[in-house]
Amino acid sequence: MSTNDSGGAPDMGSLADHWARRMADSSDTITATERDELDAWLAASVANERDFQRAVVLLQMVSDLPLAGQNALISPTSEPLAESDRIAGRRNIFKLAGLAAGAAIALVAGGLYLENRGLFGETHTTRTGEMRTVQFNEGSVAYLNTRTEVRWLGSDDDRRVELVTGEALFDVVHDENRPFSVVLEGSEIRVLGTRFNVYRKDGGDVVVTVLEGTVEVRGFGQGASQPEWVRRVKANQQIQYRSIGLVSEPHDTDALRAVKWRSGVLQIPDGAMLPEVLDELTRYTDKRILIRDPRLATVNVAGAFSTRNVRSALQRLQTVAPIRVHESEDIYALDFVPPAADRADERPAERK
Amino acid sequence: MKGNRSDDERTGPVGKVINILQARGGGTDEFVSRLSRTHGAQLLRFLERMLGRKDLAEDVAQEAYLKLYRLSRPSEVVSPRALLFDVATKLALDRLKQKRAEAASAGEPAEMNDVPDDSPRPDRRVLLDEAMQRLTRIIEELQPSLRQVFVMRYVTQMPRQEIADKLQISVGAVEQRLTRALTHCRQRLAAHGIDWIGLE
Repeated sequence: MSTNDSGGAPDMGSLADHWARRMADSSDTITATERDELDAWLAASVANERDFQRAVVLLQMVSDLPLAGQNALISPTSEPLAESDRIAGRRNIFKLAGLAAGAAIALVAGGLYLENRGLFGETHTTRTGEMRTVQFNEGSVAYLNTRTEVRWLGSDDDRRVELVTGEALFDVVHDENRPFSVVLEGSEIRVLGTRFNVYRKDGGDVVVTVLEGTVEVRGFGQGASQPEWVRRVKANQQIQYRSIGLVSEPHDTDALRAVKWRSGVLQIPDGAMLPEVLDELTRYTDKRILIRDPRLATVNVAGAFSTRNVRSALQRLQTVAPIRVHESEDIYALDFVPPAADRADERPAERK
Repeated sequence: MKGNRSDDERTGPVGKVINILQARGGGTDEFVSRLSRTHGAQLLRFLERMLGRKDLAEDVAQEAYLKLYRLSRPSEVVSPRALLFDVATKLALDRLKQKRAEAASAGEPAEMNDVPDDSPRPDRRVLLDEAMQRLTRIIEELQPSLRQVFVMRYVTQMPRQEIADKLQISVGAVEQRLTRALTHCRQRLAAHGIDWIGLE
């Protein structure tokens, strides 16, 4: 019985499963090269063959789960979902804006949703620009920033909230008997009672900032039950990591700045580049913000901007940086305006 | 190995098996023919992807059906398609091995590698039953982001592109999550000491 697998990058799953999935999913073609790769990999060890066979059979088992088993995974579609109205509304907004929609919406859109409680948890979402306060039954509070989704996954013995996407500030009620944790894909933040902010960036980075108390952050490898790394983060400290590991060790920070979002302010520290600022601002608008001129990528900006009104924030940007904003129905396009008239419009934008 | 064949993938290899075995009674031929009706096309696609040749795929499928026909109590099979794919995959792996051996020593008859079977062979049916039950639990315990994609794809049979569109992630990301979820499920099952292959 081989529990240790050969091959496969840490976060990619193992090759046995990759190949089994490739062979079973028949909507695209297998190239001769790919087949040679498979053959070579199979030839390399008997364990590879066995793992591959197991993965193939496992996939068939999943599709053949008895009805009772399937029902444990998908709920029937008759009961109304508590959030469904709001989610449906949000879906339209997303459809119009062509923007990323959260998981719950996707399932509703598919004519199928997964249980509100239980397996898929009680879900709370915010749409673009919205902020919301959620109080869980046990008393802890989550303040959700824009485009955020959290799910309650707790039980009588533990309190678990999944941060599916976005950013939230957690105020956790102390309860020694029921540890509280925020779970993310591949990591977990455990606390007893404290106040901390978790920001799951679109690019995959996670930033945890602690305002009070201490939290323990655990990073898991693929499918691992034991954490690959564990760090304690104290009050006024921040840690940043991604699926492949730590980006920065816990370090002192101005924790209050990390939660400025609660007052609708985006605080940009000195030395920030325009793209970083736009990455933040774009979370608060359904319009896309485009940089049309590569020269803008290295422009420095600093200051405080309103997240409640992205249009005025961008207008303010025009006064502090060589930027001109063109607004149309679904985009804000940013052009470069030379400081002086010396090189005006001498060359067209390099990339359209 | 055959050259030309009918275009009907469903009845091709299965029809032959049914003809051969027409004389036999019991629930087995009904079991095999139902299995081939429901999963035959999928099995052929799978085998063809693996072996790269339609005629080889048909041969292997036919062999697999013949093997299943020797099953004593088909009604007790918990997951017929898992059984079918188990048998067929083993046969296909043997074919690939054979091909490699032939390529290595051109002319000489292929030498089949013997695969050491270190696992005990208790009642496989019971094991599969247990594996199926355990599997539900394991899927439930998957990381939510993996579980969602996995359930959408393999339980609700949603196409990958559709999942990607709905979740606003790339098809590549969907595939990666599927692979990771599968790895996790497989390792968890193995960790429970359950083996679910070699069912025949």
